[in-house]
Amino acid sequence: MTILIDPTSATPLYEQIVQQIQRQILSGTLPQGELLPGVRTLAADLSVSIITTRRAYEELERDGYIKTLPGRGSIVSIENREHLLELHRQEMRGWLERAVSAAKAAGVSREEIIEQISRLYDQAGEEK
Amino acid sequence: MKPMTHNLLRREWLQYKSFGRTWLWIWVLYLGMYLLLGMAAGFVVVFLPIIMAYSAIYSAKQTGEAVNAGTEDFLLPVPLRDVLWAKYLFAFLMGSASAVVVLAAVLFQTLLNPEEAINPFYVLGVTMTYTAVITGVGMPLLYRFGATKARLTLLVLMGISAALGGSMAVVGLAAMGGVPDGAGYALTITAVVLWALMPFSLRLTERFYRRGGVDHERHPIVEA
Amino acid sequence: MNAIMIQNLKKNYGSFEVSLPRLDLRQGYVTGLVGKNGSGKTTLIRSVLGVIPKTAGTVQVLGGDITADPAIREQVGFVSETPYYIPTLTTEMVHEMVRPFYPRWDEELYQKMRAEFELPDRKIKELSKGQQKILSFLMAFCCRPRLLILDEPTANLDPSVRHRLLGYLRRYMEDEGNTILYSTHITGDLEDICDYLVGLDHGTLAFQGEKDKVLDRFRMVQGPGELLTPETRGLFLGWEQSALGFTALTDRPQEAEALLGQEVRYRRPTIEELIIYRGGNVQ
Repeated sequence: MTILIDPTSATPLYEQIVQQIQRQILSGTLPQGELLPGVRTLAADLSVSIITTRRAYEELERDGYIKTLPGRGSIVSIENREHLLELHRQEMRGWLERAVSAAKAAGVSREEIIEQISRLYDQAGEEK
Repeated sequence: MKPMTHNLLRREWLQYKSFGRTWLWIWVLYLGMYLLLGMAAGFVVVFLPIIMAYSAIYSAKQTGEAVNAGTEDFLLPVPLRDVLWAKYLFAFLMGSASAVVVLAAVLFQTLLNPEEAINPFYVLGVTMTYTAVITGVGMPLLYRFGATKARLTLLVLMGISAALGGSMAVVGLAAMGGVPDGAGYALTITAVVLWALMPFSLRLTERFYRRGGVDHERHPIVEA
Repeated sequence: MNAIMIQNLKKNYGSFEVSLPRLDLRQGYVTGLVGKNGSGKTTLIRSVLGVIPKTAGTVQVLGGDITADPAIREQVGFVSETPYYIPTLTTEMVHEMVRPFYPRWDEELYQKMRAEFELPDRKIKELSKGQQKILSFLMAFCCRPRLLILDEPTANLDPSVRHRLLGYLRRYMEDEGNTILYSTHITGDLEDICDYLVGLDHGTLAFQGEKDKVLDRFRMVQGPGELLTPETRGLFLGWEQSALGFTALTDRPQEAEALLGQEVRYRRPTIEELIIYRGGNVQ
């Protein structure tokens, strides 16, 4: 598992951890049943506080990505992968609507916005 | 002996040693003086153990060299009383070792000049009595008033004892043609009694130490 | 379980008083202790360690009385702000003097760290301040304590040594039985590692709680100079003004937003800013 956090980013640290683990679970990099590192080990490896990693795991569990078994640790456990993917699709649609509306207000052409999205997609492709 | 005592003693010894070899030179100088001057220098028979006991206490208190040097005394996983007891024990050992050195010197002198024989109990009694006084009085003083203030008092005390003891020795020897044996035994018993009473001094020292904590010298507190 | 429990602690130094009605340090976490010079941090630490007598109150360390129970002191490691070793002792002498008292002393770890930090065997007075600090840390750390109390542990350390030391501390926290009390001015140390934050101000508790939640109570507000009026100033705990604008700290973010709206920028403060801006005009 690779997690790279950016302390200078506006996104809270725990949120960055959540997002990256979510992405890896949905893409299959972290397979079902995979044991995740403990909160303390993760905190030590990422140089963040234990409360931060604990919060990240709690949120991941709440959203149905992992399960924490007492005494064993946290494992990847998606109940309904399709459902979670659909949630992300909805999120994307929401953002795209806002982007399109802002683009129109700025007089950005259809081709321009598609080019922008392509470029951003390629750039973001490095993180998995 | 309690399990950690030898480690605590070792601690005192290493500390003492770290201040330098002065103590060794004092012994050598003293012995040299005594062997050269013979009985004329006899009045200083009391000096050596007193100086050594004082230096042991001086070292025990880690006088003002390091801020908060007492922190370790409080933090070691050993009762504070044991830590302090090791300091007393160290002073006793330094005093005793010096008494032995003095005794050897005196016996050696006696071999050379049998007419100037001094009762070994007298030597032992005087030296161990004075070290008991220096230790028993000096330790509580040090931990009550701190090294800077106590040092002056101790030096005065030392000076007086040495002068008294010294003059006693000279007067006694001159007037009585030697010190009566009884005086020697009496002094030795006094020394034993004083050392047996040392636990009281220890308790007083401990109370003072706890009362003040690491800043019992009333240093102004530097807040970080 | 609380590694440290403080109740009604009072310590008087003439005119200066430290007074803490209640403070608990949770076991298994790093608690940062911050505050201006003279705010009482060192006094608090000394009271917890039992190296100074308290005027009033009780302190429980690892469930007991640290001044009465040597078994508790066995499990506490302390790095003092100013190293207290006698200047004429050598590194090796200090090591030999301390080691026998701690049954859990890890000699292998000591040698490894000594080599890693390149700590020479010299008299204390011949060591640099940073080297003295490293020695203090080694003595505190290698006895495998359950509670580490650190007062300015990375002060005087070069960045690479600091980085490695923090790495050791992070590994140390992997064991949930370990706790750290971390007092420092170098707030950067705390930004990553600390779970809970305690702030002292003039001997009293200014804030305490989970670090993120504490910082969330405040906002840094930045905007054009004209908006810093006597009226708006009432919102702020501290501010700074230049020709290019003002920066201020508020503990009433909603009110600030209501009054100033979108003409200013809001963000969470860093720990450093929290300390700097809590005192009125900071210029």
